[in-house]
Amino acid sequence: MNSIEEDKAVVARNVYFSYGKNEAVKNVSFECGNEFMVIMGPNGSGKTTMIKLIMGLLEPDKGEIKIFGKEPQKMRKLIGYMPQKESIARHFPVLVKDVVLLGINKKIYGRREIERAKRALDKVGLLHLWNEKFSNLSGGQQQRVMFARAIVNEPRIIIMDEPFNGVDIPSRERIMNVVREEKKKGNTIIAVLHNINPVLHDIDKLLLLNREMIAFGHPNDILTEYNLERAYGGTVTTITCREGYCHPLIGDSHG
Amino acid sequence: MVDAYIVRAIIAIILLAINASIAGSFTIFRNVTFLVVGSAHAALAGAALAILLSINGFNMDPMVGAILFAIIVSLAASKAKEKTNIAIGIVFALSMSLAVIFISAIKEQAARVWGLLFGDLLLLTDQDIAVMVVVTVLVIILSFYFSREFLFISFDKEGARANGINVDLLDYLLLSIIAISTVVIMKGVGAILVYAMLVAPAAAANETARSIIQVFFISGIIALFSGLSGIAITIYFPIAAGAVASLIASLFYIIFALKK
Ligand SMILES: Nc1ncnc2c1ncn2[C@@H]1O[C@H](COP(=O)(O)OP(=O)(O)O)[C@@H](O)[C@H]1O
Ligand SMILES: [Mg+2]
Repeated sequence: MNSIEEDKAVVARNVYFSYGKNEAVKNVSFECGNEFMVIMGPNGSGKTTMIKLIMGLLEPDKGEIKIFGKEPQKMRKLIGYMPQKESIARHFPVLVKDVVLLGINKKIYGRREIERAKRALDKVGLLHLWNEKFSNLSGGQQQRVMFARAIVNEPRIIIMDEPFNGVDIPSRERIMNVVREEKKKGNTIIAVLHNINPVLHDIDKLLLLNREMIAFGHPNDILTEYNLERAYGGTVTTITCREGYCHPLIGDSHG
Repeated sequence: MVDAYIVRAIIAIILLAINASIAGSFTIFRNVTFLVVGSAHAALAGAALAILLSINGFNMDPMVGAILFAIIVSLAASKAKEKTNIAIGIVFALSMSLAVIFISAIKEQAARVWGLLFGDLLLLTDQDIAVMVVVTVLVIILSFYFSREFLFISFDKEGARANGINVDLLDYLLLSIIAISTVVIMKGVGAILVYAMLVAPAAAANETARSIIQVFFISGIIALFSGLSGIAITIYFPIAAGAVASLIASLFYIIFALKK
């Protein structure tokens, strides 16, 4: 085995996965180190499935995934996860502190755990809502709390599934600031995004999916009209901004 | 002097309130109220089968049979839910059919199952109370020990899984606890009213509580108040205590839901 690869946070090689006969992920390969990586593709293109494969919640039918060179199941403690917001229940009175503390794997929370949870909540600027009902928060604030839960264990890899859907701009920026900080600290951040434009300049690696892998690389190298058409099944207009980044005009109509 | 049957009824109400608080709250959190009626019907089948077995020389407490069947059907129905609503309906239809078949097979003794159908707060025996105590203690210990996991699973299953919680196993345990409590509450108010007594107090509490702890607390108090009122009223009027209790519990929900 190659030692450089062993050090990489996430390595996927020719990964396949099907739900029964439904092939959700076909022949996907990528590598990601101390970077901000984004997974992008239309609805039902296997993005959430890919994330679950990375976390070892699903196992590839073919191919392999390594987290710091090891089996994903053994490395779960190093990963902080923020699920898609649709999978969260809001019909009972969990408090903000309950949500963040759930991220800490302990039966009983002592002062150390409380401190850790408070620090995580403070990073997203919501410490004052510690005792508030989660369901009373705005959509953006709820996502910030979920992000705080994802970072409460100071993970090496942060994985977020559509973190900015229905999120206001200040909340998004708050989360992105922490993402930038985490990257500086040497950590890895992987996010599924529909609309990549607001954060495009931060992205180091982009994985374009439509069940099969369309392209993987730096956004400027792979955001071509050809690739976007193959991913989205139609013509996608792009605009090149002053800094030379190619912005695809999609995503605003989603979620 | 208070009659012994009144004392047993009061003890039973306290046990019912504990079950309504714990299992009721988790039923609301986990969003599985649809399982309660189905597992209650299954419990009837289980009780009837236990009596049938006992007649044929294999001794089994009807409540044990009831609990086993309630758990099996509850787990099957939750699996079926992932497919279609029709699948759950069929699981419930199956358990009701079995209930009628087993009850018809134990002809002379069918009256023993009616206790579970209509409830028999004032007819409970010492053995009934003993079984209810043991089962309730089990419910308390398990729910307390796994409270974090149960909450996590109710809040977001995917997050719980990613945090290393054995979601499939603990979800089964949670549904089993709810099924067990369903049977305990049936002993008091019967299969027809178990939904009112198990779900209504927690649903009412959930409307008004400001935290998880408050849901458990308020639902317990509502269930206790409803149950004791039921007994108090039946001392003076010849009507079913369980029915009065369920009526009051349901009224609490209506009041809290309207107030919101
Ligand atoms: N638990 C599941 N069981 C069966 N099929 C699933 C399951 N989850 C997702 N799928 C299917 O797999 C495909 C990819 O889904 P998903 O990874 O959720 O896509 P995305 O996150 O890109 O919207 C879809 O066709 C979806 O219907
Ligand atoms: Mg998805």
